[in-house]
Amino acid sequence: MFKYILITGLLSVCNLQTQAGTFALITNQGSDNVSIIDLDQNRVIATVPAGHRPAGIAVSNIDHRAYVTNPESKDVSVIDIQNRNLIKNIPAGDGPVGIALHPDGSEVYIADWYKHEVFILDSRTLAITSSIPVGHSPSGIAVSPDGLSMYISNRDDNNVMHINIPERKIVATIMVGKAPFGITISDSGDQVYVANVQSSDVSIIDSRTDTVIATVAVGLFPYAIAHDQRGNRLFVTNQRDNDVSVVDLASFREIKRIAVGEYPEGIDIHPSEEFVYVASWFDDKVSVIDLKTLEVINEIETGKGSRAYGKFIYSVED
Amino acid sequence: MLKFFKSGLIALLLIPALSLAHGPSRVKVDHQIEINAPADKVWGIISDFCSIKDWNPAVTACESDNGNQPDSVRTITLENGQKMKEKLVKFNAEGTLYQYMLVEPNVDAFPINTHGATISVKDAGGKTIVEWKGAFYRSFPGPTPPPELSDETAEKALSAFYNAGLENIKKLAE
Repeated sequence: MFKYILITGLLSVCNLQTQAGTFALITNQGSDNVSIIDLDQNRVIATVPAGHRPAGIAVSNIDHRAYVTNPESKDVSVIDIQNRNLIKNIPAGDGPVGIALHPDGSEVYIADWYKHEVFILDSRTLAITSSIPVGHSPSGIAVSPDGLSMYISNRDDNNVMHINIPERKIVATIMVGKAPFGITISDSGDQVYVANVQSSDVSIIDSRTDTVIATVAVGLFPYAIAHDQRGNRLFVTNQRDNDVSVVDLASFREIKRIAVGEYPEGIDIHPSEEFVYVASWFDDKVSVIDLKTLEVINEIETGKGSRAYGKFIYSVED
Repeated sequence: MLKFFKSGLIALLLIPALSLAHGPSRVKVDHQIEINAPADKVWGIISDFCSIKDWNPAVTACESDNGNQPDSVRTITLENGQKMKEKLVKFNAEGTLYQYMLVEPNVDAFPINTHGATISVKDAGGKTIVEWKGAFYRSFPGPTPPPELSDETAEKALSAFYNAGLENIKKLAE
């Protein structure tokens, strides 16, 4: 009898901890919180407090957490996605903005806009264990699927640094366009894409040779990039054009613009590769783009100043 | 506090005029006004890129290098004598809006590093709504700006600048 109660008890706890589904976690700069959107329903189901003016985000499907950078309170919020609460704010340098996770979930990498360093946070102990000096105003981080490489965009140096993760060492510095910001790596890890804000283009880097193989003109002040492996395309937010550029990776050309809200920032793709989600900072909303028709099919109201800069889609299967 | 302020000033002196790193969080400025006049009349008052000297009392002079053509750069002079350069990014006569951006920041004009703004005119059943909305990053190059270089100070100054213009457009149109 006791054993039976214990087992059912455990089962219900397990159910609570692994609610299946796909969710977008959107940092809201103006309301100091994170909106959790259930992507099956396209509506906000919870709002969780963060630090001051949250910007970057990295979600983990392994420990079911979101790690959020708060540049104005100079810390990182650790959010329990399943329980929808704030676990802790961890002090992190002078201006944490870009953030990414190791694919095994063990480490979180945080770029400090002012200190020109990348911090390494141990996700188990929630302590910053070391840091790597990088270029000026590091702004974006992308980690390769094999967990061996990290690419950092240094906004004020107009370059991208390739860091060998196990050795904690810079192995290449690649010149790109002007003021590189958002950076994304392909699912296969063979290409790296970086949005150059001031030259209004995207640099495409071959990660086997660490060289730029193409530069594609997009809209004004491009910010962040989502990669659609199946469609062999990129989706790029253009802050000052209020739209998303679709870049074909076979021809390295922009093939379409999709109007979204004003000052689009964060962009991420559904694991089904059927939809892309775009957070619009000025309009406090998320636009849903259908990848078959390349049209906006839904808009979801979020908090004030939605940024969602990073990988913000969390997915747990049944 | 004084120490922060001093180091901030020194840091400002050390950086070149076209400074690089700016604040980490973009700030929004969005104001509008309803005017009892037809939209085409209002558009006529503001549509020239350099007409800002005629309708914004905070601007004493404006010169542009290429009128309303793409990438035209205007140099505006403020009441305190400080100058700023701004570039016309989009000019849409049909949509009755234009977009411009700061290309040469001047911390003595406004403590901002980047600024993009759109001014638009919309018909509202015989009346007109003029909206002026923009976004900026503070120019202070470190994490702890002194009060006079903070986001809040810059936001207040830009809001006052936008509102002075909007109120005067209303006066001129009505």
